[in-house]
Amino acid sequence: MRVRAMRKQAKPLSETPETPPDGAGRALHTGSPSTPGKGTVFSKKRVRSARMMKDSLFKVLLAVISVVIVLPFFLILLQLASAGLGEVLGSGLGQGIQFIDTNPGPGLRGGILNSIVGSIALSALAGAVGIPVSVLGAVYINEYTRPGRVKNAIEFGADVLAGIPSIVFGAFGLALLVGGLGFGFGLFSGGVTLAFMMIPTILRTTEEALRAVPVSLREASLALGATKWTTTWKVTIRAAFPGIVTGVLLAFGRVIGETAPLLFTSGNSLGEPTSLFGPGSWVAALPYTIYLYISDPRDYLKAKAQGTAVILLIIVLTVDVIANYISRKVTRRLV
Amino acid sequence: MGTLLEKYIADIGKRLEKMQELCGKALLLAMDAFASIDVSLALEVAEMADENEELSHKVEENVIETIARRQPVAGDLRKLAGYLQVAGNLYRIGRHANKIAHIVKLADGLHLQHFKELRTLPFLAQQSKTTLDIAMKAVLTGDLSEIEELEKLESVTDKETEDMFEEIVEYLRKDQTIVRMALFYILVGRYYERAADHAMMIAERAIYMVTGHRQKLGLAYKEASLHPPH
Amino acid sequence: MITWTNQIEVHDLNTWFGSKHILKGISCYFMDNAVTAIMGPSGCGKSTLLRTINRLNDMIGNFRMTGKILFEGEDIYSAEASVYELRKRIGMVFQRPNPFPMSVRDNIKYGPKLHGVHDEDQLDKIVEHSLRRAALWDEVKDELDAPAPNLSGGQQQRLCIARALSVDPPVLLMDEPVSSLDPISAGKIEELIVTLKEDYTIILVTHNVQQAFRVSDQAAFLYMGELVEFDETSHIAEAPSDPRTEAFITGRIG
Repeated sequence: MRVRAMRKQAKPLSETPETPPDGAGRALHTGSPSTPGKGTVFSKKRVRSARMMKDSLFKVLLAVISVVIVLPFFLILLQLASAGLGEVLGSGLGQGIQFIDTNPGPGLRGGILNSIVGSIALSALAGAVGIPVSVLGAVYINEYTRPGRVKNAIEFGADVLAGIPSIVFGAFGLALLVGGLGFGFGLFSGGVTLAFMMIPTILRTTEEALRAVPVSLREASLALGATKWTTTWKVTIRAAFPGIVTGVLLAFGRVIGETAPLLFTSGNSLGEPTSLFGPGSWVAALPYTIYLYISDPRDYLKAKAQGTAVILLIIVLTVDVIANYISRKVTRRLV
Repeated sequence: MGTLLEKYIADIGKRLEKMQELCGKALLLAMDAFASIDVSLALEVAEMADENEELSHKVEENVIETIARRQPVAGDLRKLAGYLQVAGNLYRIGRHANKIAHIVKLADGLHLQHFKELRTLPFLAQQSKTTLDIAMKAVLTGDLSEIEELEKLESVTDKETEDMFEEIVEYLRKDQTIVRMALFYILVGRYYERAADHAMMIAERAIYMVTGHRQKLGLAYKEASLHPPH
Repeated sequence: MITWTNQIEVHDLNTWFGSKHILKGISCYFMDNAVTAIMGPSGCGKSTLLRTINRLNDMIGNFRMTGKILFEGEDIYSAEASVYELRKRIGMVFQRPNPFPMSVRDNIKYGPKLHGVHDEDQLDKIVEHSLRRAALWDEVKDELDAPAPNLSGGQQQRLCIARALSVDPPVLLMDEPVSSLDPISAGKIEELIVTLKEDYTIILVTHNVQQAFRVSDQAAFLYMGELVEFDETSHIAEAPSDPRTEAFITGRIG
């Protein structure tokens, strides 16, 4: 017993928290005069430092990989910031606000208010159509269908939809909404096409959120005499709400940045849209605008594109941060 | 949980078996001591009674510990509760043997002598031991088959005791000098009868332990005998 | 006017999940204003029996039953019976505490609101009354608007009891209500159950024999879907009639 206690005491003397692999630091620490079995302690140290070397190597490797993964994000940010911010804030905050606040004028100089308003309008319409459809659809699938062919078919459909390239959505929108149903270019066609893109995402995330609600919560509500309908709305959806909101916001974040679907459906405009259908509904959008400006030979427009990109990035980042915040803060409440 | 509990119960059962052995020996030895008014034998009986008492305390401790720790129910619980009460009955049987030993010491001290050949008293001693053995067999093995016999034994002993009572009354009428010894005879008979009675109680315990029903033994209770219950 | 001798009576109940025959010919009654414990080894059908009484098994697609369950003299599975009314009058507490992700107050208001109580004063009274009955009032009265999931396990379960009591059901079903709690919380709730029986009929499912003995007045022993024995708890604890019951309660099977 005593010997063991002594060894335990002796260890801290000869062992240091972070011995450098070659044991160079050993000399600094008080040698271990009272440790029995000196020989064994030393060889153990050698083994230990070999292991520690492997450990450190691995840590370094992982750190490098992490940097490589995160780097592109920072590079984009840096590039945009340097080029774009300069464009936006050039001569101070005043110009920045002007950038956001005015429509493009002759020669497409001026601000990008049209694109900002347009993007918001399109997203709003997409949401207005897409969210109820997907949320209600997910509720139906999860709460009212039994596991089986129908459910599998719907889920499969949603997954397929999620993988369809955005330009195909654009072509579809053109064929069905613009041409087929005759809605023409503009806010409605663009918005509904975007809605179709939002549906798979929101459907799946809502479904996940609903599934995460424990069955016993529903049972508790039913056991009090509630109908399935009441239970679904007052308990299940309420419990899944943070997850649903997160999914919706993420879908928004994605859709705001989509260009391809809008190419054939939304038309373009130098001002705000004034109606839902017809020529007055033609609307600009931030990603579309970026595309147009960058493809333009005029240099000042290329610069303006950078600025627009910065605005778009800020919007997307804000949406993502809010979604993240909600999902972290609020999900903890659900036992 | 079942097997550990069974082990504890078996250990307690062994202690009871030892007590049964002691009581049986003490009852017979006490008779020998009285027949020959031998104080050394009486002292042996006293020692056996003390050991018996020790064991009864141990049994009580074991039963309480087992109940607290293993939380037995139903058959197990009845058995343990039964063991506890049987230990008490065995303790009293030992004490009765001890009291007979005490009378031996008194008789020796007063230099008394028997005035007749002892016939009934040894018979009662043997009967009490037999009753004890049958009852304890029922307790320790659950075999209730011989319990009916006990009631027959009891009626025989009741008769013998009554006869002895009358016999002694006759003796006293003729001769007054033997009063002390005569009373000792009555007392010794009484103690054996009490011992047998406790043995009957042990048998009743056995019935409850095995069947869960309570049944009173004794022809007197069934009003099948003219002799009043003692 | 239908008269009945016991609030809940079960007559020759058989249940199936698909082709699996779960409950086999169960007939029994549950004493009013007493605690009846349903005990048995895992998988013997105890929870199924409980959930058949408040028709929660209706939610399971392949559930089938024959026989009758009478609540206050009426067949609860008859076509005219309202399952919502039934569940208002037969409350349930589950094995793991499952408070709604709302405030404590809203959890308790949920039930009464379902059944038409909207007056705020009345609702507040119900909140206080239910929490007092569940011995939780003193601990939460200053934080009624805090989220329910923030309570400790034992508190949450008492909240679930209060919630079940909020609609004042004459019968309370409890499915192993303390098996997920620590011994001290479990003990508190066991004592609570014993006090509640003055005003409610309680049917308690448990796999813990000692708990059944501590808490119940009447006990039913279910083994492989059959009702083996059904008697006063004191009789079963002292001398059960069926050897299977004895084997179970002494720990030799199950």
